[in-house]
Amino acid sequence: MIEWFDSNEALIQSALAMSVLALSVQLALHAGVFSLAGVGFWAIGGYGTAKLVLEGWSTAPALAVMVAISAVIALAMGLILNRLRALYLAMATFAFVLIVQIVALNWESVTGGPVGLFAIPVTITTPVLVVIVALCALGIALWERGRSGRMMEALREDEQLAATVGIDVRRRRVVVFVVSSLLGTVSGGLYAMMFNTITPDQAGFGLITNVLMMIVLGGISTWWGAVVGAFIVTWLPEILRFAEDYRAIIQGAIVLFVVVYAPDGLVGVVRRAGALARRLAGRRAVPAEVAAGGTAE
Amino acid sequence: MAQHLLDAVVLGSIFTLFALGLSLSWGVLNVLNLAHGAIFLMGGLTAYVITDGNDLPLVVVLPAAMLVSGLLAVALEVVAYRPLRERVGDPHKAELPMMIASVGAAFMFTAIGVEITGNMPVGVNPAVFEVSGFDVLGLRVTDLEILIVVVALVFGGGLAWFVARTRHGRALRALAQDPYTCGLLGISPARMAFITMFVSGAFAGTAGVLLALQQSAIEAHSWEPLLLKGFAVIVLGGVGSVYGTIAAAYLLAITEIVTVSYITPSLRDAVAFALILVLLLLRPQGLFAKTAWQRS
Repeated sequence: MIEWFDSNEALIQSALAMSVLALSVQLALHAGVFSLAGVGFWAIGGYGTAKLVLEGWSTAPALAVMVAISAVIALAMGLILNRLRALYLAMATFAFVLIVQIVALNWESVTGGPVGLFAIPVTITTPVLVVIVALCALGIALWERGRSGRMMEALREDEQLAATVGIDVRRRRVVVFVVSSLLGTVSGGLYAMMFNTITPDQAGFGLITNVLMMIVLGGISTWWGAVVGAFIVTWLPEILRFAEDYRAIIQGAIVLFVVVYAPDGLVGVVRRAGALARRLAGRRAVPAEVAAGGTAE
Repeated sequence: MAQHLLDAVVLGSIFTLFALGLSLSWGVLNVLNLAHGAIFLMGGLTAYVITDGNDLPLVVVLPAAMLVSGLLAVALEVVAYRPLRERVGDPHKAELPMMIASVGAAFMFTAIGVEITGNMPVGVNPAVFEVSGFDVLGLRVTDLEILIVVVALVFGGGLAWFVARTRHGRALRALAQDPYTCGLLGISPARMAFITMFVSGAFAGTAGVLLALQQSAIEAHSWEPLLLKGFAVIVLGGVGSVYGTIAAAYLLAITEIVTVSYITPSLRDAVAFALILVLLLLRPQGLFAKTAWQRS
């Protein structure tokens, strides 16, 4: 176990940092807010934290400052984009991600241009990372269950209905947008701090694909689907090593087919297996009751 | 100044061809086809592959590329979009999974593009179209530029005529309104969806070939900024409006050329995003549309 951990530490760290980003998008989609803005904030968080640390800041305040800055940007964006629904929001936030990448490419004095930022001191250890990721996951898990979780589902299924039962739709959507964006910032900051470089081609369309792959493979309906998905996608290049040059092609095809034919991803498979197991168990239980003289319904 | 205007017209023509396909699949089928850029790439690459080592004329190359891109778009409809619509039922609930599926397709096609090009810029055989330039009223014009503008206007006008004047066009508009009633009226939504996706893909493929000839290079990731421009055009013109899309394409091109020439080239792609945001803020129904029913 420990040996496996040591030899795979980089992958584990990467999966942990990325699972926060997966949570960001999962949260938004779960609440019916088609926002990919978290991916753009991933780049903002990554570059910002890295830059501050390179200037001599220590990690915690650097990350905190970036979260604060992102909160302001996200709130402004959230208020503006709040009038957009469904695909229009998806498109606007998709454009935002591409623009962040373009800024990263062109603002050389700050972002280092195409080369990106490098030699960032690695200041976060794996246990700290685990704690931060666990806190984020716990927060989302609590938010997505119970009363607040049901509100979120109402928001997703039918906004008008949600409004008529007294949910402040506008405010909730903005809050979801901002929290989703901040999770992106945290993920980017953690990632840059763990891997000592950040480049423009890590953000952009490729990252959007990766994140969507995570939540699709893991399962879009729960927070743990996102976390599991982050681990699957991080290991996918290893798993698909046999495919060599065709790896990326297969990866794209997997996303396409899972969305269409296994819509709940791994979560769905597990649930279906659980339901099947219960049914089998139930079938065995009935004859036992009958044998005992009970009346089967 | 006049030369800049000419550049803008050529660029706007490419935008027109690209954005019309994007607008069509969204307007009729509610598909935000993020693979549209990758299908555009496949059109350009088809031209590259079939002319590699043999001299084919453009009248062969362009239809071949249109066929390949069109069929790829139809394949997406058959493999992903239609099964999703059928499974989910509510067309609006199917929007998100369809978009995610299109991201997967875009990733896959781009990876195929990387494989074909070896991740290097490649050029289409120049024998496909011998470019010759001449002077008109002191302006430098090439015959390729004229061809691009003519193709864009013919295709755009043709689509507008098809949608507004033909039986199939009427069926298409009916499908955009209400697929269920369409079925009752004897229109096959599946067949109309085929036609829509084929035309959408073929337009992207046309843009791919023409831009590849114009820039004499194709690169596997070159479609990404173009997709951003496509979004901006749709938002400007309003989804589902052919004339709106055409007007918006030229407007965006002019804005972009002005920015590049008189302000700074590094803002080139930022213009599109700024336009998207400002427009969504001030006039979310697009410059030319009357209602915003689709957005709320």
